[in-house]
Amino acid sequence: MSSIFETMRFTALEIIRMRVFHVLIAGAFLLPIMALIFSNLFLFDIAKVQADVLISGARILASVYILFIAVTLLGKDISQKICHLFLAPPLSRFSYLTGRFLGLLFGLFLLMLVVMLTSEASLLLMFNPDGENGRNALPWYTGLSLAGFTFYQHISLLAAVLLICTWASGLAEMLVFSVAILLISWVVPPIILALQSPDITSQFPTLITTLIETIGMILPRLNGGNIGLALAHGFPLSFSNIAWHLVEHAAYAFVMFGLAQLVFSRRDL
Amino acid sequence: MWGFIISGCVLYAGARLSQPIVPNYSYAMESGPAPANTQAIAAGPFKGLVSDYNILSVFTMYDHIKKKPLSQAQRKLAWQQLSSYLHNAQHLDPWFNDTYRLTVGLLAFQKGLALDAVQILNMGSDYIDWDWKLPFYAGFIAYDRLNDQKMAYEFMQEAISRPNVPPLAIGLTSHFLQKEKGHEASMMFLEYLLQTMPKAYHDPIKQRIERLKSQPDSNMRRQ
Repeated sequence: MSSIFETMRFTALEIIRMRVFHVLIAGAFLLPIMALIFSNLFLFDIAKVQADVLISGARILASVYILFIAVTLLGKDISQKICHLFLAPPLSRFSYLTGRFLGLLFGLFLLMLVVMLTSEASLLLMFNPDGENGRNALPWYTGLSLAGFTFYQHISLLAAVLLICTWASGLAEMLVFSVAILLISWVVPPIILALQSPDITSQFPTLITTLIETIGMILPRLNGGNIGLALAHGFPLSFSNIAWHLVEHAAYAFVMFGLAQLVFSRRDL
Repeated sequence: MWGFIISGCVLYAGARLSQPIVPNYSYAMESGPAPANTQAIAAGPFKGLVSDYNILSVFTMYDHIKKKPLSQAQRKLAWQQLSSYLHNAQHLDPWFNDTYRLTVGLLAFQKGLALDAVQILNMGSDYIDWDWKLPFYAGFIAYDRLNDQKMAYEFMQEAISRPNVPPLAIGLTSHFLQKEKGHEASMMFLEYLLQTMPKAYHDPIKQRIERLKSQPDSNMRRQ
């Protein structure tokens, strides 16, 4: 247990000292400013537009973190054999990969914590429940929800990237596959949604529809059943809606993490 | 070394400043919007933001229509594209209020686009099922612009069955349904719309009020 914690602590320190991480933190501070500027171009639902920019920005920051910090760190470790420095008794492969994963999660958590604080600050600054032209007011915890929601969704994506890194042969391959899984997980859910429309279903062969739905099942759903839109509008979310979404992502992360451990334990280093 | 950097900076600034800041063409106007389903797929998890972009394009289009000298055909095309942007914004984020306010303020009083406005409001009404305004607006447009009493009646019935409907809406509905008071009710409702819309979007509503004032009651729904 202590070896896992030590690896996690080392990973977290490594991430905190990375320049890319500093840039992402700076991005988290710039995000509310961008949101304020963009939202003031609109007429009525100003808070909604502000929340849209904050949610999208948080997602982009989390995705960049996964691609340029997680993949780079794991890619260097595995392809340049740096992990050999760690993998000496008493540190097992399991402890090493678990520590690395937890350290990466901690880094993502720190980033989202900054996003949460800056978002909360900007939303409270603009809080205007009785403003003109129907400016809507968001609940005080919107910043907290959007950062927490983004963090939680990206755990499953991080676990999927962990699997890719343990399986792929080099840094370039890891990066290409990770970008691919990110883009596909963005694009496939809306395609599946569009395919459910009767007009489109009638024109597509069943085989293609089934194939796309199968691809959709093996990817984490980052759209999360319009939870992002609901947060931006300040709608109360039903407990079952949130609970099933959390279970879906936790289960997906567990499966990917387990597979990554399995592949890594058998990998010829 | 410093010479390279300073001369580079001067050249760069010169090149930037010699180009016009605002190009002479509008992307939104040249190409029009991509279909709603395509936008939804390309947007991925950023549906809210892409919906906002469509509303920004509506502002751009309206600005062009108001300020640029356009031929009749160009003007018609611009209005159709503006309508498509509103349709897309509604498809991507059906809870976005700006879409419906702009639909009422801009499309409803534009020749040939009232039916589009009713369609957008009707689709939004299914999602925002706690608000009386969208079906009421749709009913008003059906009554005032499409001269379709049956459709107007259905929408207004739907509106007054919703929670928190104010007495104003119930009173107006009964007036609309009595032919002799319809003209007066239309004017009252348009005045109410003026109070809820920003000044930049008052023109189409004011034009409609002027037309109603200048014409006899029996002819007003033909315009």
